Amino acid sequence: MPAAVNACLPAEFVSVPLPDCDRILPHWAKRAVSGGLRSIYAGIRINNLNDPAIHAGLSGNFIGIMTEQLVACEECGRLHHYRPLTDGQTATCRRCGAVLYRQRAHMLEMMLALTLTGLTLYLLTNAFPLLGLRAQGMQQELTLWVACVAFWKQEYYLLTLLMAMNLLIMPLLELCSMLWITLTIHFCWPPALALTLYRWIRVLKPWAMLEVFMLGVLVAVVKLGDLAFLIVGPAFWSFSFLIVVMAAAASVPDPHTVWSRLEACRRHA
Amino acid sequence: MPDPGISAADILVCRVCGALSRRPLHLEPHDHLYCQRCGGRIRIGRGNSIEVTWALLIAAAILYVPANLLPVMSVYMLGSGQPDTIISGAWHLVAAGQWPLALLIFVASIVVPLLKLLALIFLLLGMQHGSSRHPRERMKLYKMTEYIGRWSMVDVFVVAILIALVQFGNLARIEANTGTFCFASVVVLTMLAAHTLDEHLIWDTAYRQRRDRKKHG
Ligand SMILES: [Zn+2]
Ligand SMILES: [Zn+2]
Repeated sequence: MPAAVNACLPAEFVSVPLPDCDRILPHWAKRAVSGGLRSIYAGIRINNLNDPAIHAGLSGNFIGIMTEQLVACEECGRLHHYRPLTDGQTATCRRCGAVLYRQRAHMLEMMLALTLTGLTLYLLTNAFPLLGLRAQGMQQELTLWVACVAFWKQEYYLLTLLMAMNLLIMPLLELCSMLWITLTIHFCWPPALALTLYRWIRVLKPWAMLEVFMLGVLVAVVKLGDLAFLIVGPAFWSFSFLIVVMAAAASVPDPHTVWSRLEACRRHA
Repeated sequence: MPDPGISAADILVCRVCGALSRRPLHLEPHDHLYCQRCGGRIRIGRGNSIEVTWALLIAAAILYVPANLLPVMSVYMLGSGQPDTIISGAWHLVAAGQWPLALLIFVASIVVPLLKLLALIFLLLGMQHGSSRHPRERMKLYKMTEYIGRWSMVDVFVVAILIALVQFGNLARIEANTGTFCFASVVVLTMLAAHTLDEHLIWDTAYRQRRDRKKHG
């Protein structure tokens, strides 16, 4: 029985040596600095945190707090002390009740299984038609690609780009990123790329709209059902499964665990 | 010499990955801070989130008018065409007896964008006037607007599917019209507005008010 643990202490005043922010540069200079340099700075930060010279001369109490990390609530920003959980437990925010982090058994295995299933279904969905429409001996077929290009043919180019992002690019990016992140954590590869990918898919998550498109397909089926002869293509079924698998793949990884394990990889590398 | 410790106000939280870092002592007005773990931009204080969100919301509200008045698509049957707005399309469905579908289209295309605009304006006004009441409920409202906003895209997708499938030359043909573009812009702009709105401000204002009241009362 997974129990919610509301055991995180509030931290109004904390005495933890925190790292400084990344270089403070004006925007244009930041852009000129490549991602490589950024990870060098990050390296300095990790070294600083583990540097015994920093801890020398500090009181025992201080080091005691250091071993506990701090966790900030994603929703409201309140700080909490990190406490390890047992499998199936969830830590929630004291102020707003949002989930801070959870401990999940077999998280990596589930992520791997779901992303590989998702990629297979994605390929199937794009290879076959979703719907077919037959009228007067002519037949039109709808695939995801055809749906995106339909606006292009009528000279709404921006809408095509928007739909390609919603239906083709974002889902693929999400699946590939999750696969890469899972492998990075498992094999402890240098995590620079995985960190960037995870950041982007978390920001861009709302722009993947497969389930909204599914609703659109259903609406279109009902609208056209009376007028013409509709054929449900094989991709319709793989598409339905893809939506379920992607929803599961998005809910399995616990962000706090993923971030901290990716960071642990950097310390090992 | 031990570190004297720093207060919670000196700690900056990365909104993307949750990593904590120390606020620099000296900040030039146009400095940008970046998270060392994930490379994301760290927002400092209030920033210009409220102004940017207002700009996006106003643009969305203006486009909401042509999105509902201009035709979204035209159906050509045997040569004669008929342009349809969102409302007239829903009305045709009611006339054909498919009122559950008409209700779905009406809610997703007209009610949801309008409610989303109003909810974001309400939240913005609350932040600007430092409202401290019901932060939990307002946070829920924010989460809900963020979640339901994307479902409005269903209308754009339906148009895409119809114009892709119904292309039978003179017999039957469907074309997209400018209304679809305006409508998609409304959805995109409100999604961007929900993203730029800094939801932590809901808590910050509520918290500041409570602290001030304690100090004075
Ligand atoms: Zn919280
Ligand atoms: Zn970060």
